[in-house]
Amino acid sequence: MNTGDYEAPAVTKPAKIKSGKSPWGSIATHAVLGFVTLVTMYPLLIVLRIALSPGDSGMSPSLNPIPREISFDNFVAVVTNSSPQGDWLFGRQLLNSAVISIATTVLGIFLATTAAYAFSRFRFPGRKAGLMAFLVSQMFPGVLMMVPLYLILEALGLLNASFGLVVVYATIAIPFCVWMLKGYFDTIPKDLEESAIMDGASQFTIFWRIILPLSMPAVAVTALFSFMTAWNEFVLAFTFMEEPTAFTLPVTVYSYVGEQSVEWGKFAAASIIVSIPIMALFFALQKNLVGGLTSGGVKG
Amino acid sequence: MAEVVLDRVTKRYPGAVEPAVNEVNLTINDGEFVVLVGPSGCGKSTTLRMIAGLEEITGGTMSIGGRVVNDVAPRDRDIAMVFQSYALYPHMTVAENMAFGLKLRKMPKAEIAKRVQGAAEMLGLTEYLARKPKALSGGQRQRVAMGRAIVRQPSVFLFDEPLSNLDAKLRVQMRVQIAALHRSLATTMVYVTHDQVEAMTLADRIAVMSMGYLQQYGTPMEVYRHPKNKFVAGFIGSPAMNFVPGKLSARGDDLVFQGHGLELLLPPAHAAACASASGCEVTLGLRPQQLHAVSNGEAVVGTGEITHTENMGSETFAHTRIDPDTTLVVRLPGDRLATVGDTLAVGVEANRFHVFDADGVNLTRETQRGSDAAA
Amino acid sequence: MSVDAGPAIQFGPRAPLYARISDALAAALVVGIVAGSVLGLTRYNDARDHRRAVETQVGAIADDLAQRVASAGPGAVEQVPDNVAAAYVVTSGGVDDFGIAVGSDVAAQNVRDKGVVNADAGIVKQGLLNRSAELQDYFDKKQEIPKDRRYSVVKLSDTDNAFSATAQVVKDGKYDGMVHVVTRVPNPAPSTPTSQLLLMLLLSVILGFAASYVPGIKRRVAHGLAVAIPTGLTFMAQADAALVLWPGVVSLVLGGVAISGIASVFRGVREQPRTYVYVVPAMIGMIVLVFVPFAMGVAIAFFSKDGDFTGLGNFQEILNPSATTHPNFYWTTSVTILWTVLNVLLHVSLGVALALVLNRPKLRLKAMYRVLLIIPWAVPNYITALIWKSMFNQQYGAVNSLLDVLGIDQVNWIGPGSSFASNFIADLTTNTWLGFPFMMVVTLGALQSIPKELYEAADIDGAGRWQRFRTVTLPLLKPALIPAIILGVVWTFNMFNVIYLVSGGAPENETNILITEAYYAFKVLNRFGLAAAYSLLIFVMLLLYGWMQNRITRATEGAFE
Repeated sequence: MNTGDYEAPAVTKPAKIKSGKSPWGSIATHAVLGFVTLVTMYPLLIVLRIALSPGDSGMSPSLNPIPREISFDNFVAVVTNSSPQGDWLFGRQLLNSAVISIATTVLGIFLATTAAYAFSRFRFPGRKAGLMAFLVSQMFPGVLMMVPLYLILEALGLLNASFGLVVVYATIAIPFCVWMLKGYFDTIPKDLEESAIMDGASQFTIFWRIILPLSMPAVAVTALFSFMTAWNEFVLAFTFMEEPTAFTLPVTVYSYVGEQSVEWGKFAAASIIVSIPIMALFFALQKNLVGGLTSGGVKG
Repeated sequence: MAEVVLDRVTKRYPGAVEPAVNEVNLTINDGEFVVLVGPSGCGKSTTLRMIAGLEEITGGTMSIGGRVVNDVAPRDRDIAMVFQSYALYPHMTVAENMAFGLKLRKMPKAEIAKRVQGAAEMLGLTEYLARKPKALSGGQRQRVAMGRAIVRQPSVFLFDEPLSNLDAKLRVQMRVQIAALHRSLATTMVYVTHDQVEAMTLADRIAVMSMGYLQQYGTPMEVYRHPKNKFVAGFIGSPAMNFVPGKLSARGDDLVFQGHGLELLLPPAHAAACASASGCEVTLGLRPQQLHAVSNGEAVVGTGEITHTENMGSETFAHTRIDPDTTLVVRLPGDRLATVGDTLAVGVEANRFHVFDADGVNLTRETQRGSDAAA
Repeated sequence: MSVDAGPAIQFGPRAPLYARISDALAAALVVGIVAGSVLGLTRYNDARDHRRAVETQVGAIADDLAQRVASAGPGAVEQVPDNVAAAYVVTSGGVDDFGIAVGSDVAAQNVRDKGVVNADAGIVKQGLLNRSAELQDYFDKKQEIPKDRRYSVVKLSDTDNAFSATAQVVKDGKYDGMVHVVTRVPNPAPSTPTSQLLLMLLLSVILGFAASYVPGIKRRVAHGLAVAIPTGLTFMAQADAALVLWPGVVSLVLGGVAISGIASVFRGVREQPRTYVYVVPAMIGMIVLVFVPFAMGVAIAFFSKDGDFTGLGNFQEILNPSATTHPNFYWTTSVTILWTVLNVLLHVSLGVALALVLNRPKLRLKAMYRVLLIIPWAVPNYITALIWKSMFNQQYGAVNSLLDVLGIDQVNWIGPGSSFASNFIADLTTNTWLGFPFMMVVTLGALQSIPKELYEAADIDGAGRWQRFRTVTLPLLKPALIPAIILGVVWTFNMFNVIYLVSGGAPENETNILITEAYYAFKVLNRFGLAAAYSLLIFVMLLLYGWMQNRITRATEGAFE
């Protein structure tokens, strides 16, 4: 991505810390990092083992992350999961998850970037209160919101509708994204906008063709967060949707180790399937994550 | 092509006690190069931004090409502006940067390409068209910023301290280039700077501003030679004019300035102009260039020890203490070596000094003009 | 809530018209929110009361019919009360060898009002047979019929609902079929009609307009009254005086505090409409789906389980627990604070330490380490919680296997009979694992923006490694870390998934934090009011924390410039 490289003072070379001169320092560093990485990765390796072992046999006291016997039964079982009526539940739920998450991302980016732009660039009555309110909304406990949210969606006729979930998820993601984006927008010099004004650009053209392209790292992080909010959520999806064919994938993943049954093998396989898209996004966007997330906090 | 007229233009920021720009009257003729100059915070940039339409005008009227533009959006004013920071769009190539304004105006692609090519040739940017601003040097970026204004073919160019981010050598080069540009385009240009050398070298007319007021508006030589007041006199010219406070007193039919180790008999024309200030506190203004070391027989206005010298090669400026709290900067020819500690007797070029009254008004402005005309 | 002052406007007799209209609209908005949400709640409660009453009535008819069918046979269906719209008798033929109900049939029916049943008789029959098999199942398992299988409501028209009830026919201690009774019941008139609210909204517009004629500080009082009077009047017809008093008091305060601000926003919309185009979409979403639900939640906190207004009853129950309640609110709060402090400490120290190591310029494999260390952030946190739950399993869990290898006795981490400490450690470990990458990434970003000249300057000044960290790195990390820490505290304080899924509050709810306790009240006790009161207390604590932290560190300073 070749954007965000304007001459802002924030873009400076990484600070140089002199590393230890002796090779032992480097070895010690790698030993520490290797150990931490191993501890971090180990639970995931165990999940992989459980998923790849037949049935629940992967749930064994062994410390060895390599399965004794490799079988894709659990994956097959998860992917072919169907309802008693013969609906291919996995396929439906995967589609639901994908559609809802992508729609949430699009809506989330739209809502968050426009609001953040106004908060960053305009001075208007209600600006301070609005910013404060966004911050404070992060403190609202979810339990408090469940019943009212249910009633509101019902009143709006959005219960049992994917669009209802999309709107809810997008608003959940907004406050954090707005603050992050606003911080990023604040670092874009005002001169650029004035220059565009002189070039004859309208306010919207400036937003669309100058500010957004220059903020790609922060917009990418916003996209990631909106997508993640929608892709990982299951409590609301479970509460607001009635039919299993309308559920999202996480609802099913959770159900494998829910109150009724404990199917660790299927759970592990489903977890891996659910986590893969998010991990792929993280890998693709991790550079942006480092820059996009903090440029707001650290100016100059 | 258009003239720009400011009629009692005022800018008052909400909550501020004093207006940032106070009833400025300024007429910039079609094709004229006008430089707004003054110390930082004097209102020159605000004035330029009001011409551009980036700041709202809170009082008076502004017209461009005979049309009142107080409420006209920047894009409809037919102007282009070069920013101090260049404000190039980092995500666009040089060519895209230059074409952006034209594209927004829905100009045919062929015409855009032609204009961009033309501007690039004029500015020597042809080989950089496909590059991003990040890959350019400071001087190249500056030229792209100018190119972006040129392709628009506006009727007025605005420059906001365009050279202050360049090093000294490049600044001189670009100054020449801007002057050449003005000659070839013959378009109205308004240029803001705090550097009086740029002002003197580029301008057809200079507008000196201070504290939100327009202090003087005239050709460079007019402003230099006949400053309206003490502020203009002190701001224009390098090194700055020497100011010596003192008192005018009558001595027979003549008027004599006395103060801080300096005594000067006013020539008749000066004396006539200053007659009303006789017996009052005034300030004498002496440019270093009009002071010299006295050679035999000439009148000495003050004598003192040289405390510091600035040797420029072609000339030397000697700081001469003629009084415990008064130091005069005196220009000496480059071939005359002045040494710190030497005693210097200072003389004044006849008729070439200014007397400012207690309010800073130049009492001798017309007198000088008369003597200039005679000479 | 402070609102940025718009351009100064003279209030009193000389206010411009649009400023008066802004005041009027703001007053109407506040009345709409307060009175509207109370109205919504009373409607909800009324509807529920009505439904319960009708269900009891229809249920009695069904029970009566079932008894008569048991003694007199299906023909009893002919004698039912006049208000019954339709009644069915389904007989059972017993069960086959596999225990599946067979030979079930609709033996008799009495349909007086065809409008209440499905036109397709086949569908009706199939539904009845299915239901009968279901009821037999409950009977055989000696279970009570769940409420939603015994009663149902179908909307017939805007004015009428069909209420139905089923009952098992029991003959000689055996299941012998069921009866199904449908009645047509008109909706009761709402105790407070909607027109009343609309009328009061109009009144608030007039009063708000009038309030703009009042200058100075008195204007606030006028605003309060302009809202309180219409809100109170909305519920005058209600029997419960608390419904007039409480919303009235709330709107008096809210009106006095907020109307000037809201009105200035309305004025702003008129003065610079283009600006608001950008904020309005997000704001509408936030208001409808975040702030209104929050306000409704706050209102719910003042109601009992049965929908009666109890004032501070729920809070009293929480804050003044009986001696036998364990763990009580104060225990849970202490656990929550301990949980939050330890977690954030671990997140920040681990995150910063790893970031410092990863920021070394000549480190090999840097990109790989960074990617692998971010992974926990990418895993959905309910999955993380469940993974760690399996890791702490006494028999199969990797944690105990490791202890085994190290020659340490196995620990019963989260199983039955496990201790508070072991459960808490399991929760803490899980949350640390999923939380440190965020702090690491934030720190990495901040480190990259520290100009290296500063380090060079510190080197020239002769600073050692530790001094350099303390005097250069740490102060420059602060602007990025403080907001991250505030967010971290808020998120951890409300980290429901980990506690709920890993320890589940064991032993005996001792490791519950406030949010899981609120969820317990919500889900298990079915007490929304109590859950809302808990949540409100959580919110107040977080707000206090955020306010204090902000005062001390000025973290958001500059953000508002």
